[in-house]
Amino acid sequence: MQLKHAECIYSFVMLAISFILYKDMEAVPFEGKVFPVAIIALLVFCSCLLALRALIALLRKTNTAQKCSFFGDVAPGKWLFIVGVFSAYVLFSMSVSFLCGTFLLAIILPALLTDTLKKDIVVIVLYALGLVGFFDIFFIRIMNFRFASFF
Amino acid sequence: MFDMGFTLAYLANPLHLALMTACVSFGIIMGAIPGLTSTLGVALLLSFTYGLDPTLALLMLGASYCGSEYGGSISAILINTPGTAAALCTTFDGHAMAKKGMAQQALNASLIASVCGGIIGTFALLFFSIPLARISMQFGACEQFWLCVFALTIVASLSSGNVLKGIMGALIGLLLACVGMDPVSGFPRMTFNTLALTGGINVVPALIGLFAIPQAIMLACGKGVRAQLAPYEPKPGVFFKVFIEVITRVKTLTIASIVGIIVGIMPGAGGNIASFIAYNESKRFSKKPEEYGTGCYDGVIAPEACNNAVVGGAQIPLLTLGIPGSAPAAVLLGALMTHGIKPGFSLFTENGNIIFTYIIGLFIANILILFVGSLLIRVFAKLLTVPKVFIVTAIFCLSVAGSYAIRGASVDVYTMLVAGLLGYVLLRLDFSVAPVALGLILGETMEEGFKLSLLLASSEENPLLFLFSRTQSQILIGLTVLSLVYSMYKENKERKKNAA
Repeated sequence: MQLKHAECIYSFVMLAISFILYKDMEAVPFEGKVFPVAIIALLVFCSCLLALRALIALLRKTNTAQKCSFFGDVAPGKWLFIVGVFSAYVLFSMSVSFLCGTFLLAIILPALLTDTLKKDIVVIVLYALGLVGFFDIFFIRIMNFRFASFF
Repeated sequence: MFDMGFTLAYLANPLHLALMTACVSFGIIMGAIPGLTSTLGVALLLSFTYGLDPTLALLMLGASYCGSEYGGSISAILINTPGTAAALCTTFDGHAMAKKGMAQQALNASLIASVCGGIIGTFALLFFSIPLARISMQFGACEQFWLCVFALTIVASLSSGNVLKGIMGALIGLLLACVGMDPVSGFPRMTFNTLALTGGINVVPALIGLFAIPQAIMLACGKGVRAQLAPYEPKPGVFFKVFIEVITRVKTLTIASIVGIIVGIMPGAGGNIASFIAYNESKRFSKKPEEYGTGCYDGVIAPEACNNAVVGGAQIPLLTLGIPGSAPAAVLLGALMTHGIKPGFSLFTENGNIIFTYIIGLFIANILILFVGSLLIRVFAKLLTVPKVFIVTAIFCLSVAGSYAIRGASVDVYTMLVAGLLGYVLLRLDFSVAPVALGLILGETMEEGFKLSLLLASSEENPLLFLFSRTQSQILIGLTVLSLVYSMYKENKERKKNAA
């Protein structure tokens, strides 16, 4: 996708978000919304300017060589896998068990990303145990943070 | 008044020195772990000092505060994630230096600059407390607002060549900072009737998300996950070479430290805002501004000297007026009160021994940072030799733990996740995430200053005019305009030079 196309889409998304946020503040009295409304107005102005600049560039066919891609040079499957694993880790560690989630992540992620699993498995397990040990000692026992836990 | 003999004997006590060293180490580690802030470090340590005598208690808390302000730069340099919000600017050049194989130099430069800034800040606290406290009384809500506007001018240099996108990024950050209760009237805004959003978006998890997560995702998706994060080849004698590099940059050190002290004495501002201003001003006064952001010493020295100079600056209104200049200084105020010490001008006459021992102790704490820091650098720098895949996993885990640790709320972890994905999208769209972070950091302070100014001016015919009417405000407006005009002039000159 051309960067200028992406900028147009981005500007319209920003305009839509600005409208939604403004609508959400309808019930708020003037003194509560004066500052955010001023920011929204500036954001709308800048979005229009960005869209206009991108449209003019597209029409005149200037500065259109720059491309952008959401996945860049990364395989989409791999990107989705990494983001999926991380999101699952966040949900699991916040609602089920932080230490178990950390242990699983520290095993799964290196195991699936390395191509020499058989050679590295002992190192990965030791690394996972070390990481869990650090979190258990520093965050839970010393700092006394209460994470989600089975026990 | 105070007895110099008592102070020297107290500070030379091996037990006191050992406790201060332990607190400096604790502070550095707290600062280096993203999510664990200097405020949290000082607050956690406070409970251990209840039974101690007030001088030792203050020395331990002050040592931890100094250490954590420095510690934030370690993760900023090594993994491009600021350990504290004040270390955000260090990522621009510090991490760039690490990627060029100069991690050892960057880490040493941040250490030496932090110590220099800390000593200059403490010097101001010791010798200029009273006049500077009088100046701090001149700053009100209007100036708080205009100082934030002044800090926002850094957007122009952060997004050179793409200023519109930079401004939009800063506006998104400011808008995100408005989510939740209005700081003055208490009305919930942009919460979509969600209880979790009523408390607003916490800055630190958002920063962790914006900086650490896109970086970790790209590292994990990239090729060669067994490779190192950045080249690391420790060389002997680097410390002394870097020491010479830092102390010969007198202009950068002076500008950054003065900015740190002045912003530090302004209640509510703190190191987060100061480091942005120091970075911007040192770039503006530099003979080679084009080197900033590519991995230059000045880009590391300016924010680091500044955020440690804030420690001394923030304690000037705290000790003389009882008004804390930063969040950790507010915890120190609690410590003073816990030990029955009432801040104010009388503190220097009635409790001279305690307070002067504490201030002189801060000099020693800064020197201790130099020794402890140079030892810890060797340990932390080894991170660069670990295969990327293990670093990425650790970044993911630390991001979750650090975000949760701030308030013990799951919503902060989800904020970090969403901010991470937003940061990734923005990077792909050729947006810099730094202006978003800047907006997020400044948003609350800026809105508070704006609202309070309007409230103060509510009896005036035109309340908006009040924002422009005070001399102090006019000075800040003048500086903002000058800063913008100078940036535009310099960019124009550069463009003409390149065209020729």
